[in-house]
Amino acid sequence: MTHVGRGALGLLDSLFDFDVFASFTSSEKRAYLELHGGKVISPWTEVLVEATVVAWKSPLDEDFDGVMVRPRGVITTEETLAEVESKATCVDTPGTWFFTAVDEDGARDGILTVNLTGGANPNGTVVVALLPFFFGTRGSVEPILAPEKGPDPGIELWNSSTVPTHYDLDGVGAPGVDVQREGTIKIAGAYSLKVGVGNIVGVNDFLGNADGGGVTLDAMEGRGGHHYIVWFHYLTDFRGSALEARLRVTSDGTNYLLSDGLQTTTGTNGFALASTNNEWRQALFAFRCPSTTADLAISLWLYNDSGASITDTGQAVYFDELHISHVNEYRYFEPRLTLDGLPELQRAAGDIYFGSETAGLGSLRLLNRDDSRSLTSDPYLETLLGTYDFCSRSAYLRYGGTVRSGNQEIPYPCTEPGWAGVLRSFMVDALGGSLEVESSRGILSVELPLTRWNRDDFANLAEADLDRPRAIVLGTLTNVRPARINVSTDDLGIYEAIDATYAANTSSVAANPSAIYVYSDEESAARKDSTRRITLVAASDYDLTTDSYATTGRFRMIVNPGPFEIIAGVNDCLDVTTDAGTFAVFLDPGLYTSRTLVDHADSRLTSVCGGSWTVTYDLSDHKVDFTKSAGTFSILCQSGANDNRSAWPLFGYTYDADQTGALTYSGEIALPFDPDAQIIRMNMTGYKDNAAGTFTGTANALIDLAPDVAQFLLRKVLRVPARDIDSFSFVAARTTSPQNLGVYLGGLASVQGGAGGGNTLQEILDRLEVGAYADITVDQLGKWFWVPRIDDTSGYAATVAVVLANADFLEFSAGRSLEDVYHVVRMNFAQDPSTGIVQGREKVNLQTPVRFDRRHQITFDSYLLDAADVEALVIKLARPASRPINRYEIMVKGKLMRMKLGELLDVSARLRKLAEPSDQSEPYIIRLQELTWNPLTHICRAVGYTQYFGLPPA
Amino acid sequence: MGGTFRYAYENFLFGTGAALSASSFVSTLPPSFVLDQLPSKVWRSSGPWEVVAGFNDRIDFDEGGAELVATLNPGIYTTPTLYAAEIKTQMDAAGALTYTISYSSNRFQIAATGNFTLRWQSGTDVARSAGIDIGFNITANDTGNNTYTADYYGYQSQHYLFLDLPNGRSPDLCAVLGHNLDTEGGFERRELVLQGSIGGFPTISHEQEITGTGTGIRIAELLASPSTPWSACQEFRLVFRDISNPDGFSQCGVWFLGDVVTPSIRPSINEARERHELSQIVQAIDGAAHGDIRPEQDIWSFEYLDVLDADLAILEAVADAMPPGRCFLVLFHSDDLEDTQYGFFAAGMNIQLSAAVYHNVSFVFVEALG
Repeated sequence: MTHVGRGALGLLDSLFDFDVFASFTSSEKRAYLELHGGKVISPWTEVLVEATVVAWKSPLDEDFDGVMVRPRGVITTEETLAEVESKATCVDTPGTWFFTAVDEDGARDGILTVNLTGGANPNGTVVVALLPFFFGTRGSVEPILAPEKGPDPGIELWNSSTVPTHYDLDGVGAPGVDVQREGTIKIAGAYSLKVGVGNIVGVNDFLGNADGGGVTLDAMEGRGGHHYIVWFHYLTDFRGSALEARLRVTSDGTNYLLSDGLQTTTGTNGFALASTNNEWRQALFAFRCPSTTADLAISLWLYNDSGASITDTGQAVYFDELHISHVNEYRYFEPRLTLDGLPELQRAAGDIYFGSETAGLGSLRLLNRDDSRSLTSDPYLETLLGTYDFCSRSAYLRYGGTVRSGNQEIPYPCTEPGWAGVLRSFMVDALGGSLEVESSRGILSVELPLTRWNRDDFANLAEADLDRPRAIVLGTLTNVRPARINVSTDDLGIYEAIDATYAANTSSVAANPSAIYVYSDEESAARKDSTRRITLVAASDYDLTTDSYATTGRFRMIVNPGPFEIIAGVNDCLDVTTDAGTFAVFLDPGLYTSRTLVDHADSRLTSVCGGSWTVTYDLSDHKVDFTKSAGTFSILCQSGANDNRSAWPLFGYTYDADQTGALTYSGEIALPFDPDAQIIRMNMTGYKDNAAGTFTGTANALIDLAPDVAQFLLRKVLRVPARDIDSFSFVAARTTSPQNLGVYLGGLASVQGGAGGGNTLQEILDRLEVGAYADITVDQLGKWFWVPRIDDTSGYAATVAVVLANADFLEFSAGRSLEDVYHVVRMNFAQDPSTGIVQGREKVNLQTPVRFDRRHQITFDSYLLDAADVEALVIKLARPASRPINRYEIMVKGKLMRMKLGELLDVSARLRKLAEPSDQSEPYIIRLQELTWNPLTHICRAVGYTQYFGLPPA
Repeated sequence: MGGTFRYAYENFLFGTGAALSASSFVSTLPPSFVLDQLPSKVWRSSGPWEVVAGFNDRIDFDEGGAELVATLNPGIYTTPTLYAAEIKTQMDAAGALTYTISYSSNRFQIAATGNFTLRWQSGTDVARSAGIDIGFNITANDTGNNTYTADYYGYQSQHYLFLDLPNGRSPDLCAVLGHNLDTEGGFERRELVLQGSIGGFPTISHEQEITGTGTGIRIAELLASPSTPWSACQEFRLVFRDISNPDGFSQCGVWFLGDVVTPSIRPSINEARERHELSQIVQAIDGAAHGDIRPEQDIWSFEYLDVLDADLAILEAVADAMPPGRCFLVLFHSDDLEDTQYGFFAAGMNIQLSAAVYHNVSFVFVEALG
């Protein structure tokens, strides 16, 4: 077996891909476990450059088992920092960390440097270093890699079909090489890179001898003498040809590494990779960077070494999943892991529809037997597990192995992610430690919002908003009830509409509200009755500036919003006497704020009585003052001719005698001003993206598509690191799931109590999934993926399904049940955030009660806003509910290990199988609902259902 | 199977006051890992090229006159370019000529603007010469030319483990497991050498190659002459003269340096060997069988019959020192040192009084994996 990559340098190529390895070979399985222990790091001291604080540092000089422990990650209360390759980069890049194991003189150092976002002082937060400990089923030294250096390992980003975004074309065109985006022959993602003999019509249609070309990855930094590992998948479709797939690595553009990873040559053609005979294979190249450089360049090439021109334009090499990483260190994996002690991994969905995905793990066992010569003076596991915080920290398992004959081994960087979990508890005895591990999907039980409006943070919080979930808002919402968090010196309400804690754009949390209303009563608010509300006016009735709505999501009233209602024949007349006579001043019926009320009174008095009038609302006592500039003025609040419909009490003039002898009068009582009696609602939009367009792809855009909302919640609210989210699938989903959403996570603010329960992340994702007709799933390493459901009859599903051969099946059975058959399928949408009232659409499967004696209904909740979107979706959902569909239970070895729930499997090759209905457009293409695999044997058990593409509801 | 049957379990590395260190090491694979009994838990040298004062820091040469000495600065040189630059700097400083040190096709070359002699064999500082590290055969000087190309491929320098004992000891056996040495040939130098010093290095009192082929055990009985053991040394250096190793580092998992005990009789009957194959086979419905192969493990059952007190004491001493699970060496054949197994007692030793002064002794010895 080889040991390239474990410190030895050089090329290994034509390596089995893991699923091939697991499926077809008699092999020795190996497992590798990485456990993280947490350690709180403090205090921190400043790193100064010319008296300016550029970063912070703290000693982390920890040893375990005689070895300095180097962090694998650093998290704070606010963020997950990214590891960088040098201290200089850390200083220059907020949100990063760097660990210096040895100083420039090679002496032991052990200093952790952090640069928090916004230049924050780490002494003001909690900083936890995640310290890794490594175990294996066999003892071995393995490379521990720094984060990925390449910007697009999947080769998914293309400026055009012939120009990859992060790769320069190299030798393409004249030599007879062309580069194309390949969508069918690929190992992962949507595309691979095809480098073929040129078929550039009119330019070249052959590849000359000793010519070659391909692409070169954007130049990267490299450190002289340091080790790097490049690994990738490739496929050559030429047999018996002199064409070669080639890899070329240079640090200076002049000297190119030879395949031993050590020496260089000025020859520019790189070195050959073994032909793969039309199969995907892996290559790994470990090399020592010849010199410190900013121009480390990796090229993927097709080369003609035939001695003559090659004219077959059909020949090509395909590359995919190109990774490059710096080797941070080589670590010993203690052989304390037993294959038998690894839990099976199970992942299952509750039914054939959306959501409720669960993942089970269990306990794993580490050996604890100590040799008396052990380097730790204390018992191994007791010391380790007792020293650091392991509970709630991550555990990563990877699979690898060797084939007994031949030079085939899965090098550690190429090993397969087994699972990522979180250690919940452990028990240790003299023989071993039992570690309870929970799936990273445990996060799904978290209830959102995480925080509530409370009196610790808001001392004057309204009683009705006490303990109400603090709102997380995404998309477009109407009828939102903001929380009254404080009162101004004028006793007017100060409100918060959205929790700015999670703002993606800290300078513009959300766009200004499109409307703020005050309603006459709760029922009207619930009905959004436009006749019973006042649309408040920005800067006149409310103020967005003083509390900086843009950065806080807060605003305040600057007038008493009331509303004050004038009713014809009830309170619509002001009787007055002036020097010009006695007047009955009739007011227009309607709802008024204090501002519009006094303005209207002023206007009507001037119009009816003549003269100059001033009617004001005094915010200091909430009384209304009436002033006439000259002459005489009496208020006939007792003796007026229209006393039975007097408006004077509305203005606080409840005197039991007329008011005379002055030109200015003030009301006897204040107008009602209690903000908690005011019924405020608003139409608003939720969080805006930042200037980089992190969540939407567009600077400062509204985050309102399901994939963007999901990513926002995971990253901003639950602080899932960006590396744990498959950006490509979420970005692609903006096209497949274009429906605009309105997501109000704040509980349904009850009209009466104000408090309401939040939703678990699982419930939220369920709603996002069903509204987008997609599955949100987590792979073995805890990485989140967006998997759109295919819904067409074009045969496309069969092209993307993983195909199993008859010989693959260790077990195979099929059947049907009524479990997922429903007479009525209903979908709710456009839920009112204040009342919880929803709109709905439904589809009735008319034949179902008769054919299958099923009269049940199923209801899906969504965040959709548009009825047309809902009507289209409910038809799709009604299809599989219309009749029992085929359920398959299969067991195979290896081939399903990379699959995720929701992905498709083609089982048509099975010779003996249950017939599919004749009208099924995609028979035997099944969607995975349950997956279980055994780390000891790589045997996978799966349950899946046929999809009913294009089958209309019965 | 003939010859004597021996046990090697008293390792000087674990003696009271013994101190183990290394010429260099990567921080995650320190020399203390050699004290762990797992062969896979290795010390690994830093480098690839390292210069240690008093070990490999001198180049004695002349330019037609008196001996000149270039003293290399101690430290780690991560590329051949850096190592060559240091050699050039010091040779230029010591001599009058201008030297060019190049590295091509894996070999160093030393050239100058005039003829010069590299005094590998006759220099004052042969005991601390860098000649081996640069890739030269130092059994003779290189003279009469202005350019000399190294005799061996050079991917790294020498590295060593150093054992300092409180008192002089005379070990019988040196064995090394978990190394990355391999077979040498052509322009390759892949040697492992044990050096002993009575008064302290750089004086070398004994030196002997620890032989072996491939990546298996390297082992040698330590004899000053065919029947004379080494005299007692207080310092030992296990030198990895493995400069043609393309790994660019040396490593060692287990270093045994100690005594051998030899019962007068071999296990007489039931010397059985059992090979454990921990595999599982699953069978597809209509297809292939899949084998899940687990590591193989050799297990021996030994039984001594009619053991007298003297031999019983030897066996009991082994059992007392090596409780189940602790690893040691069993040398199956005195004529074939590589027929040695590293393993442990699976359970306690079974001793049964058979008749009068005779005992029967049996035990199970299990190969240590990884």
